Amino acid sequence: MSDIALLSSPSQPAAPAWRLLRRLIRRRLVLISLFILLIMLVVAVGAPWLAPYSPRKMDIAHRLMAPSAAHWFGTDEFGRDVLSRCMYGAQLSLTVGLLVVIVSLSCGIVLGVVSGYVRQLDGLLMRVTDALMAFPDILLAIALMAALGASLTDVVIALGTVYTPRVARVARGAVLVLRELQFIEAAEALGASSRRVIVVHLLPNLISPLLVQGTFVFAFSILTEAALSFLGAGVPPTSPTWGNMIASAQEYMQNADWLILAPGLCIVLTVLSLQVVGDGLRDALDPRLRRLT
Amino acid sequence: MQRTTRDWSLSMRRRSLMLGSAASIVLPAWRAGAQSTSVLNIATSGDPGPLDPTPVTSDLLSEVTQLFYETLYIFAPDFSIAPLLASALPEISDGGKRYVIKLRTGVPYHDGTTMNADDVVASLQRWGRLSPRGRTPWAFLDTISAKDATTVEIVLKQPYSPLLNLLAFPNGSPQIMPKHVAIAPDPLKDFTGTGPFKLIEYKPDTWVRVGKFPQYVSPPGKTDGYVGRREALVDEIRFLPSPNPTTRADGLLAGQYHWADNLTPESYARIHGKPDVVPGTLTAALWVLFIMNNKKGVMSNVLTRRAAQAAINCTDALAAAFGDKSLWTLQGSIYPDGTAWYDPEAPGYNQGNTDKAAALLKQAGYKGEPIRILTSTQYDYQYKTAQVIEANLTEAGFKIDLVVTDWATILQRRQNPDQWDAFVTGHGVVPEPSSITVVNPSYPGWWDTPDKHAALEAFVTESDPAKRVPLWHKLQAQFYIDVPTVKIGAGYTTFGASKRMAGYYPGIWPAFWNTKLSA
Amino acid sequence: MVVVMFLVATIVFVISHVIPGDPAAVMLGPSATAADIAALRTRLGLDASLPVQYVQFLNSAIRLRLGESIFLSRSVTQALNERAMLTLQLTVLAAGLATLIGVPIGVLSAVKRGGVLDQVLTAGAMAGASLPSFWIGLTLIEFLAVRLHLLPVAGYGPPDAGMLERLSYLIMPAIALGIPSSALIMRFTRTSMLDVLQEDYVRTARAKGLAPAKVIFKHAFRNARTSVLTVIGLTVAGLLGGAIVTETVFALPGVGNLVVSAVLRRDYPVIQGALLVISGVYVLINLGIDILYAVLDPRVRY
Repeated sequence: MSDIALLSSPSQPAAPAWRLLRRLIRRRLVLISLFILLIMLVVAVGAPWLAPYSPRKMDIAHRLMAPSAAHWFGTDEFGRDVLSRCMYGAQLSLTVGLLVVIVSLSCGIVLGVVSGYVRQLDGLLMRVTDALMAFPDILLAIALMAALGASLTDVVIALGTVYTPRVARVARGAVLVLRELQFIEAAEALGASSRRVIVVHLLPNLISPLLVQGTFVFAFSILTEAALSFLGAGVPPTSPTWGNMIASAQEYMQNADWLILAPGLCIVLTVLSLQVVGDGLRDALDPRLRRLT
Repeated sequence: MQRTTRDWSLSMRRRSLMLGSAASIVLPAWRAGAQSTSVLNIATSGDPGPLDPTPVTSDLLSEVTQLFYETLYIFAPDFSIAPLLASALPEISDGGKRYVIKLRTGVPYHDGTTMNADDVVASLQRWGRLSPRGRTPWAFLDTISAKDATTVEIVLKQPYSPLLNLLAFPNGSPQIMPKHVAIAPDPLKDFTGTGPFKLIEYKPDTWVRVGKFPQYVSPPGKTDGYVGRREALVDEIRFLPSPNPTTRADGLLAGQYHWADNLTPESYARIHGKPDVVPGTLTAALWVLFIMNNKKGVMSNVLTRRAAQAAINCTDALAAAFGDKSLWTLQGSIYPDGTAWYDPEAPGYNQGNTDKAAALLKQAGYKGEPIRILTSTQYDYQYKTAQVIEANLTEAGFKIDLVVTDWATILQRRQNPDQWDAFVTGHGVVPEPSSITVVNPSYPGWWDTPDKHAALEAFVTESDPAKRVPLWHKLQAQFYIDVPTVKIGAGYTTFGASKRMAGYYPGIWPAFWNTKLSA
Repeated sequence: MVVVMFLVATIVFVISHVIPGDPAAVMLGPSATAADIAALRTRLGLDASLPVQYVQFLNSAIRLRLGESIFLSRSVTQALNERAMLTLQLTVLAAGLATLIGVPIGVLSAVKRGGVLDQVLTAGAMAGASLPSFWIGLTLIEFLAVRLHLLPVAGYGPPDAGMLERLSYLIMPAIALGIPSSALIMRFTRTSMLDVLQEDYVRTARAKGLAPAKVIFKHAFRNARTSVLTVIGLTVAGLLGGAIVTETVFALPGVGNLVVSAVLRRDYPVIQGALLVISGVYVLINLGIDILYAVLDPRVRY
């Protein structure tokens, strides 16, 4: 599913950052999405201070209460405050998402650049990424979780392994195109070392397509982590995640639908905002599409 | 020929019309299937696992296997014991060491052969070898033999008064099977028995199908709970694992299932007042137990266990697990009020005292080692209880590692003292106190202190019922000194049944003989 | 492709040997003695050195001798066989639904580029791709099955159910599974169509005065369809993964459900076998797409 999103083509030499930002903000939808993401980030980082209650504090006498002034999102089957749990869930989901992006981008860039630049390794590395991509993401994630364990680190490793090949492909594609461009040839002709070419010329030009891929990896890792927790194969259920909140909310759907709506909406809003921003970035960076929007 | 956009949208419309009419053919067929009166669909909380009833005490498995296996004896709703495959109560002599059991004649197996004493001897031997409940008496077995085709004699080296009780319920008792099956190497592949139904098919994670056994010969007598006449009144019963409790209840409401096991409090409340289904509770409340590992690990220290006991708020746990107050009670006594074994002396029950727990924990020298609590979402009340316990314990300073797997994995893991520190389970009310799993020193938990051993010895060797009661009080007192397990309380498990179903017995192991489906 | 499958098998081997626990002990159960376990380990070849086990594994894998399931009392191949039809039906249904919804809407959106309709459809597609499929599934069950009694709640039907009846059990799962994919297909179709619509030959066709619909279908779409096909092929992988979650929500006894319970129960042979087969299927599908690509686009030569 994620492969299609990552199939964009690389751009021309990077536009300066401020021009990019201006172009992004011009579209209202992107602006709103960025704002939403900012709020999520603030909530995720500030959960320990912002959350009105402890996410684990049980109050059995007041279980399953509808949203009210005391509990904006209501309480769950143990009387725990849903808003606070959503906040801590945000902390977990965003942490996982960010870490997975970092892991997959770093590993993916290295793999992709090496593959694109060193012809002898290209074939082998690409077969390896093909092999890894032959597993549907959730399947590979679940299998890796079974092998590694169920901590946050294990989730990050598992999802990082799932998304690295996809990033590597994009990076490699970008490298292959960029290599042919004249300014690279010129640099090489002038005697610049490979390392210098890579660092000074290639990498900056990879930033734009990889930035776009990064937002999509972020979005998909949130969705996949939610699916993992939903299945009971993610982090232990004691920490609230949006996925396991939905899993336990199933039986209360008729009487207490806020339990399934709150975490669900959190997921949808975050993933949607990430997609809008990713789309916006891609449109802003891709010169061909610029004519069409 | 030019295809205009209008043509294109017309073909879309045609396509959707086709789909719609297909749906209308489909739906009545699905609805019609639910109206059959010869197949009973029972939705269970999970897959019963390998169908060999001997090595495990899984309640879900017993619910299934009691339809095709029978035991020598069975107990009545008032906990008295009645013969089932035996023809009468056993003659016990020699100070409680010698049991002579006479069998009924002309009882056929599903394969056409007839039950005889050799089969019973072989089945009992298998039980003694494999069953957690059977191993204890078999440790002091002297001889067992078939005196003639219908008489079995068991001689023990020392008296063991619980033996009769152990032969008398569907769960963990010897199931009688033909000799050649009982002596065949494990695992069991042939499920021939004497019951009113016979096994048709077991497809793991899909269904267990049992079909009416036309040649079944019923025990005599009026039906009373598990006792008396049994008859197969439907052609087939299907046990369908439906692990998601909401889907289970939804399926019942939609008519897909006729019976849904183990409803959650929400689903139970939801089916009240619905026209086609009736909610119900099983006849006896389960004891909810938090069993700790006394043999190895952090919990082998009695102070840590007492700390856990102090921290746990039983009221919260029961309320979260069972919901409505009518479905649960606080119960420090192991046996409920109204039974002969009731004993209100339960010092330390239901404290919910975080500070005291923290102090005890410090006293125990706890260094923050993670405590692995095994639980499963398969039994909702257990899962909820485990979560409340986890919250209580964490507040007191324990570091908890909640391990959520399916029940079959718990059954396996709990055999190994290295792999767990505690688990939550439900225990059915059993007529004989010494058959309570935690009382058995070889049952996971491994409660076995010298004082307890002595108290248990005294209890099981005493044959005078009047004298046994104070001996049981001593055991319960020991239970609250050693704290091998924390009793949380008692709760009723609920079910939902279609109004078309009649004749079932909602005992601890719901029985579906004498059950028919009206149109 | 052979190299890829070989690497896939290697990855599966590595993963399954990192999973903790002793398969022999798990298989024999609690009453096994140490001697029993050791004997079974020898029989299964588990006491051989890792490289030897690897070779044995590859050997068996090629012949599709995937071993016996620990919990299901049948061979892994048999277990997979029994469930393959359901997952196949579900995936095909979902893919069909996703394509039927995604492609036309994508074309429409591209043609009406920039207008209100385009914006609404694009926004809708993005929202659709953000919904977790299990959330969609649960909501569908709640409204269509429980409240409106229009469709059965879950499962796959009684053993004697006919084909049409079985399909009724797959409708909601297919929708839940197909919606996120349809969104992605829609957006990709739109992008491809937009690319193509800009091309010179399209402007030429328009300038020649051809009817707009003919331009769209005869010229533009035909050229966009190869990339659309690629997308559809890619979504199948996503669907195979999504089926895992959907089958759990709807209690469908398919391959996905098998995998989940195998992982939760540590049924190693099944985990291994399922990983191999599913990825194998995906590689084959990709191969099929590549071939189709070559057939449809005469410019592509291998």
